[in-house]
Amino acid sequence: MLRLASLPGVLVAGQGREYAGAKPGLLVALALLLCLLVMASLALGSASIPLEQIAATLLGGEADSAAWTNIVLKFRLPKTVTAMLAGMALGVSGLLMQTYFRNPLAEPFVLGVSAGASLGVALVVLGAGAAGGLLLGGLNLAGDLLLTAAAGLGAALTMTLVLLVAARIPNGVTLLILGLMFGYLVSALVSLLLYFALPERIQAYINWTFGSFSSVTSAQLPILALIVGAGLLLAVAQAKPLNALLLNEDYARSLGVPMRQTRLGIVLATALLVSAVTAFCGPIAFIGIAVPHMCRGLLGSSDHRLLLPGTILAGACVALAAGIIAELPGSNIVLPLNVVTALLGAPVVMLVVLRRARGLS
Amino acid sequence: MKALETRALAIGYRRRRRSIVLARGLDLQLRRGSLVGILGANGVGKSTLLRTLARMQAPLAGQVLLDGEDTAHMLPLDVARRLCIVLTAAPQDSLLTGYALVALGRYPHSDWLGRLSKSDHAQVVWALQAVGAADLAERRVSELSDGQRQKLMIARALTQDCPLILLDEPTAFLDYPRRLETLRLLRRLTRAADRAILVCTHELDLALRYCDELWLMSESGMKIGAPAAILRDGSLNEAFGIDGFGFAGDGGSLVPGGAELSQSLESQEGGSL
Repeated sequence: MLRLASLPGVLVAGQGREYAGAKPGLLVALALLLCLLVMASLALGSASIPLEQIAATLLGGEADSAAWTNIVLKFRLPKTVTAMLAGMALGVSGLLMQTYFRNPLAEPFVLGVSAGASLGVALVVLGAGAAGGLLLGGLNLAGDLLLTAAAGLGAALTMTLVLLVAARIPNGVTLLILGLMFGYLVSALVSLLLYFALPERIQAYINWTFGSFSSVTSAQLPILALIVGAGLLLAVAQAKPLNALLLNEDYARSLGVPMRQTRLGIVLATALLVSAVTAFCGPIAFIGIAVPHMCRGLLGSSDHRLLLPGTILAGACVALAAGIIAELPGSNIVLPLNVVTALLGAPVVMLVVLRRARGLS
Repeated sequence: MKALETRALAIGYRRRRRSIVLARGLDLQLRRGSLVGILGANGVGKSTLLRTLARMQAPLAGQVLLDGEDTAHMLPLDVARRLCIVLTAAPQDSLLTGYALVALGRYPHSDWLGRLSKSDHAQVVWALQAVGAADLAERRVSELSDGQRQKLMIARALTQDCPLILLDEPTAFLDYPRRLETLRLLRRLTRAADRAILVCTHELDLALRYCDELWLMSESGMKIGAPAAILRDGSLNEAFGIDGFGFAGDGGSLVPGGAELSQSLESQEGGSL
């Protein structure tokens, strides 16, 4: 190796220097917080059930009251797991989009996948004829299933479209603009459907757009878990190329990142995560944009080997917290989930943008 | 030994079905152990040439060979182990530290998680010191000046540890002593580790002084030669095409008047710079 005459300062090589200023220890704190929130989510609700009864039920036993067992196993457990999966999925897909587009305001929905899901739901709820109306009469179980299927189909079709476009267009900004425009196009179509729809159908559509962690049944849960798991694995596998993308696409390519493959990996992971969550929980806003910013701030790093586990943990935490707050423990009122996520998420995004603006001036 | 070779290379852009050719029929050769400067007026295609050589952009025709192997058939990672590049764009990520930025150069040599070994770390530290940026290791890249960032980007390329280094105006934001140091460092790197370095620059005087060979790009074609030869045959004036100005002596500074005038100035003052 080349020796140089003058060495300004003495620099010592070491593992620690790579993460200078970063706080990876906070991952442990996030994991602990997640455990607490999982317990809270299981313990809190409109019915008050003693903690030891909940624990007994979860360990395979029976609670003193059959109603309690029912509530814990059929409602609180699926709701808690759904919230965790949805939070993880939205947090990670938000991170992927922000890094890939190198835009702090990118979010999971910029690809237009959830817009596709909304269109699917709108077509079923607002456009369908008598059959749809019959099924949706009281928003019964079949109606719920139909909504999930419509949202899933809409998301899957959009996802295919996005992947086809992403495979052909090597420019991230173009993809971003196309995704946004597709979103506008779809919301115009949805507005058109709303304009001509019957009032009670409109209410059913609006209810879907509020988002909810409670409509996933124990039977549907494995499907959600499988898709989210696959999406998360695919995302984690991109950690190294994502770090190279912090420079820019040209540099990433020069470092040996196979860009086409990486772009498709990122888009596929995001599309899987977003379409699964939107199909089962509705279009949940703000978690996807706010959680990556929270993690960067907390962990003090933009290294994806920290940020990916960070957004998985923090996403689950935020979604659980939002789910708990939405149910207003101790009352019988349930707030729309999107109201709570926006109330929690919007201030975070505002803070980040303000801090960024101050940092630049 | 040739590190880089091109055969009948045509560079430019494809727009719809039309292609905009910036240069064609390029048969270039870059030997190991040599520092070559690319000179030329703005927009003549210097950066496009670098990007085409680095396989960031497809050639319109012809081949680019690395160690005799056509890059069109190479995997991205294979190219990244043989060739690194410093571009004019610098990253803006607000949390990236100098050390982490330079460590990204180890990308093609590390495992799937990008974990660094002890020797990887040693390479990062060496590169930081080589460009005089050891004090920037723990600073956030977003807080640095353009010049400091440029030093880190050069260090990042050195960390990639390739036999061929391409640089696009690496000294644009540096102060004069640092420009001199950078070119001296590049020259030393070609000698010490038998690297081939191709640098695109507007620093005529430094290029004339430190490069082994110059590739002078103009709309009429590519002129290749030793700095002294390029300077004497008046092709600099032809390439940059400025009326009323000429390049003086062997220093490469611009003076009013044509080539004849610069010759006479040289005889009067014993050259300028």
